[in-house]
Amino acid sequence: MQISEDITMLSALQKDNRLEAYQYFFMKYYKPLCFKACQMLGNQERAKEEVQQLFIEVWKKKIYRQIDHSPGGFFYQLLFERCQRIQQQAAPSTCPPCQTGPAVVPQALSPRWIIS
Amino acid sequence: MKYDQEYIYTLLLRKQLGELSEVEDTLLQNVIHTDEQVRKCYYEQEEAKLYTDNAFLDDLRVEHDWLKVAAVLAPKPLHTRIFLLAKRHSTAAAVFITAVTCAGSWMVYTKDYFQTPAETPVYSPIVHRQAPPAVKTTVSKAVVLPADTTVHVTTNPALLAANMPVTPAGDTVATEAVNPLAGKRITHDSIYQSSTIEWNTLTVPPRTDYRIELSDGTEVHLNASSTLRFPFIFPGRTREVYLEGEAFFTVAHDPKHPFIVHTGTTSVIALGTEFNVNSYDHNIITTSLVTGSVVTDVGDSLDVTLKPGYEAIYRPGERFKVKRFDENVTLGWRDGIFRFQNKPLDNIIPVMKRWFGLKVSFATPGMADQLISGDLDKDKPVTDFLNDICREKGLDYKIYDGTIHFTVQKQ
Repeated sequence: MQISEDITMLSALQKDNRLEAYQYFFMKYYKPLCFKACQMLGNQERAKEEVQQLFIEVWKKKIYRQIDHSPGGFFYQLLFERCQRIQQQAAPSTCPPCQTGPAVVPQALSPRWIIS
Repeated sequence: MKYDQEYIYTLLLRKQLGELSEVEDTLLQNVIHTDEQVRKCYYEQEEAKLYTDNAFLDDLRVEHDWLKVAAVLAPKPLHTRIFLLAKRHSTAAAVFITAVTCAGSWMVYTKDYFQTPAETPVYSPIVHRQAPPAVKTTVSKAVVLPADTTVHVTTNPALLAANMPVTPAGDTVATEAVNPLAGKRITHDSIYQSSTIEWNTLTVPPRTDYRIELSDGTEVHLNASSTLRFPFIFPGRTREVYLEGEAFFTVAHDPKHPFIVHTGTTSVIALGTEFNVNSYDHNIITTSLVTGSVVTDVGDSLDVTLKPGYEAIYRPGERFKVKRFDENVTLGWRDGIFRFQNKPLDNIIPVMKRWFGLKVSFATPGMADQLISGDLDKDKPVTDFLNDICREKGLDYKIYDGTIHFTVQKQ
């Protein structure tokens, strides 16, 4: 039930490492993947960047050899994990609700207030 | 058949692309009922589709972004690859290198052998001498340049030299048919062997326009009073030409060799697109994109990537201004029609000079600011256009000394 073109392209990619075949998948799935990344990251530029980085990584590390049969879903899953990691990384940086207020070292605001 | 995650998520993506078959859609719906994760993704996607404006997806330029990715992925240059290969298979490499050396020395030998009696080098200078006269032509000589002619600049410069000055106006030249120098063609090889690129300059005099096809298949439609400097072949990594005046480029698609148009102040980088560059005024360079994607560049980081239907206007010292343009107005010159829509009267000055070789003068300065509308057709008498606008605005004109003198209409 998979479209035959995807299958042909996948075998060209996995057997002969054809960049053209890789391009085909990029062309086909770039938009929906960006859409997904944008949903998760809430930032269009960042989304585009992540999808592009993903495609670069998958090619360079030859991860595409692990594709079983459906490249779209393969990229989708990788992208999902990638964006999740980003979300988790981003989370701790937001300050947890703190009761005591930030710990600020007292500092003179202007040099002329420094008491020496 | 086992439907695993990879397959299901592909269905999700393809659902978004709108290419699911009925069977696949039913299957996806079934999975959505049973699998929570997929259900979540599906509803997220559907919801996002409703709330995201489509502008984001429309704005995505897949091809452009692929080129960015491909630039990172592109295989290393040939010599590095050979080196790496050689490291891996040292014996095979030894054989290969020997073979290459033999072939190389054979080529050097044959090149010398063929070049000694050949007269090829003679033709290159001919072209150089033939082409520049067009640059310096005065009006009298300019008539020689055929209007509306397609000259195929193949890698054979002799062709151009032979054809350009002699063809009658209004003809499309079938280069193969009228080639008196067929026997003495300069082949690809002899040009690739030459270390320097030969540049050719084509100047279109006032009152004509000119179409030319470059060696890579790119078509250039030059407006009147414009100059294009181009090489006969594009051997390098980029295809670069220099433009003064105005031209419409239909760039042959070749992502590996970006096409670059230099004007005095800006550069336009294109891959396979249609766009218009207007640089008549060195202080206002306008790049208008019809299809594809171009990057306009002034050598700093303030470059601008254009979308079809938009134009970038550059004034030295200022940032690019990007706005929509009207194809009828901007590209009207290609049909020989210059359209004015509520434009000040003095906007006709450049086009009068370009198409009719006429200067313009106004009896009172206020006249120059009057707004006019009308189509100036290059192939009709200029008086038609002038009569129309004068009737409308209550003006009068006389043409003498190569100048249009506008005056107030006498009652």
